[in-house]
Amino acid sequence: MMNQNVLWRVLLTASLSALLAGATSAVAQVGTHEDNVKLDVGSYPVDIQHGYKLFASKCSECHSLTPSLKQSRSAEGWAQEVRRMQAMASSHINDREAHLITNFLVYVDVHRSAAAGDTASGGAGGSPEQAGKQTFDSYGCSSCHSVGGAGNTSAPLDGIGSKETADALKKLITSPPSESSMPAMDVPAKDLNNLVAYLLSLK
Amino acid sequence: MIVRSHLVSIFCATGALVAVLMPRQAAAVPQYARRFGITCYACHTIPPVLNEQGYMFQKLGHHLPPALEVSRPVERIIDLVRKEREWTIANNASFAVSDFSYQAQKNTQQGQGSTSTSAIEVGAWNAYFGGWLPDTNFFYYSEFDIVTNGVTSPNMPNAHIGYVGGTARNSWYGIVGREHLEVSEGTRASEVYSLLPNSPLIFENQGPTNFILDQSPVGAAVGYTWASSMYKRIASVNMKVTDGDNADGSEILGTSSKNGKDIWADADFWYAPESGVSVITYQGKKSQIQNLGLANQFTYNARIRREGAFANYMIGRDKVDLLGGYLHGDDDWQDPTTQAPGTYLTNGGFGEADYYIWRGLALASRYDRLRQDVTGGLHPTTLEQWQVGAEKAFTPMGNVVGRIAGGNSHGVDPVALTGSASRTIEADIQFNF
Ligand code: HEC
Ligand code: HEC
Repeated sequence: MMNQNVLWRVLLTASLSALLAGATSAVAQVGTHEDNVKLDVGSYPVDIQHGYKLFASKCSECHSLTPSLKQSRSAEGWAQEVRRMQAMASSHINDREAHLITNFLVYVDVHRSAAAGDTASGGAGGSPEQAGKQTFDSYGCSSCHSVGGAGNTSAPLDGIGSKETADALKKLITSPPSESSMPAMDVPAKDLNNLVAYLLSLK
Repeated sequence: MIVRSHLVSIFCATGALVAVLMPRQAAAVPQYARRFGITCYACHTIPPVLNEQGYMFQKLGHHLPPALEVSRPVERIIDLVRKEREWTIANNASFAVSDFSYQAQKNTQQGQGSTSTSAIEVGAWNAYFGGWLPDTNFFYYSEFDIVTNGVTSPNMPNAHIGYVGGTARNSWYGIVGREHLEVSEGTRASEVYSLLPNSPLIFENQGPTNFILDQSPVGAAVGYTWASSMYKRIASVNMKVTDGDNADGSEILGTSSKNGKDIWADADFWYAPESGVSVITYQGKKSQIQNLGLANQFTYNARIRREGAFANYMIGRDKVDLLGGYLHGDDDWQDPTTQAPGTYLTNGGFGEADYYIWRGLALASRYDRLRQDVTGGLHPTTLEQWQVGAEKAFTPMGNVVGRIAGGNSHGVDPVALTGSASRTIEADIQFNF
């Protein structure tokens, strides 16, 4: 005759392990479920990768990650949106995490728009930075600016990537401050994104 | 032996069935999540245990609590209403909420040997309608139960309409209608819903009147809620006045001569992340029928009182939750044989530890203890219960959840003074669409 204690213990262990087995498969599923937005996280700078990890865990708590990966905002816009999410009840996101997530979102935004621009312009190939270099040349920026000594050296743009954010650059190019002698350049969005990606790479 | 292996196979079969039936991705989601395009986890630590956001959602009349920042102007409720998506039936109704359960129990009664039972049933099949009236501060909530505890008996335990005013920071509401305790009434430790299939003993109090805290009265409730920036602190006071409920929680409808009046008040305080304290008081007077249907049936008008305090402390971010509660009961009582008046005192408490392993999977263990002391009884008696269990969500959305728990309880009936013990294994699974 089977001991009853043993029976109950067996039942409980069996069912708990069944639950846990189910659980492990579900986790992998959540982790890979990204609704046809493809991210090549491995190629990102280390702090952006860190931002991605936080984004994937923190921002998936309440909704899918997809809208954040598809929408386009300025750097300030993303900072505000993340701040808004942070200020929701139960969001459990601290300031440091919010900062890293914002950097990740801005990075992805800039690179995605750049990549989209690539395909739109007939798949020029290469990286957004390369496409941006071409744009820089074709819009005649070098008639007033230089990079690495090439071009008009009265207004060098070396190191601009570590001085300005993507959003600030977009503004500087399309609507520079009125007191500036930089003309407002009418650059369409896809070229602008490439251009900014290129300028951001000038560190 | 045959019976037992039968039990085992039923159990495994349930497990297998559950595994096969699990959809990979939810085809549809409950109405609130549908309405805002969010997952259940936005408002639930694990459905249906509410987090702060879920609590605020309820207090703001079924509107999502907006971001509360020092630097931004606080939104008025009407601003939230204006931001609402278009009213559709899909974002106001949850059509199929069903609950399948399996229970195996072994009872040992002093002097009577032991009995074993097991059952699989469709526990509940419900439809919920909850939402807001377009462009107004009015909200409503109703629940139609088609199947309850395996029995088809259509009824409507909840049907109320409310008005919410003020701002996201300082809001107040008024509700009239009929309502059970909702899933949450108070902070985490005082939620009637538990990660374990059996809610804490003290919520289903053992008093002579079998009074349970989850009633279905008709009445009015008012409340005021305050929240600090980033919802780091939330404070709320609520009061309910109701009429028309039997002492055992069944409803007085039609021409019943029974009568029941209740006042309920509670004060809740949350501090981020997810810790909180609730104090409640309940005072009621209800006619109680003793020895129902027997020759010596009699009725008396019992006063029922409850006072309780509950608290939880969440360690880390949704990691380990320590919960505890105490409830004191003081009811009028008349001996079923002698009709001698007296009192029935109860002092109950529970302690619980929940471990959220990751999103959608939690383990829970709880100890409950209830001391009961009845006039005419020989001595105070104790009822103790241990439970361990797990709850798991099977979809990324979190709308299909299963629970399993094993438990052990033993104690002495304070009136009959007979001892009994029972062991239970329970599993249930809920589908919310
Ligand atoms: C506490 C739950 C919660 C968390 C955590 C959360 N969000 Fe949200 N988010 C919401 C809710 C609710 C909405 C919809 C209502 C609204 O926009 O106010 C939303 C909306 C959004 C939107 C707008 C979507 C649209 O379709 O326009 C974006 C973008 C967004 N969230 C990004 C994020 C990011 C990035 C994070 C991580 C930093 C995050 N969310 C974390 C709850 C959350
Ligand atoms: C007609 C000359 C001229 C042209 C053409 C021109 N810029 Fe400028 N740009 C300037 C001048 C002058 C400044 C410095 C403004 C100031 O100091 O206020 C400037 C400033 C800038 C800055 C800000 C530099 C800093 O250090 O803050 C950026 C970025 C920039 N230009 C990018 C571009 C790009 C990209 C193009 C081509 C699409 C371009 N400019 C075309 C004249 C020009």
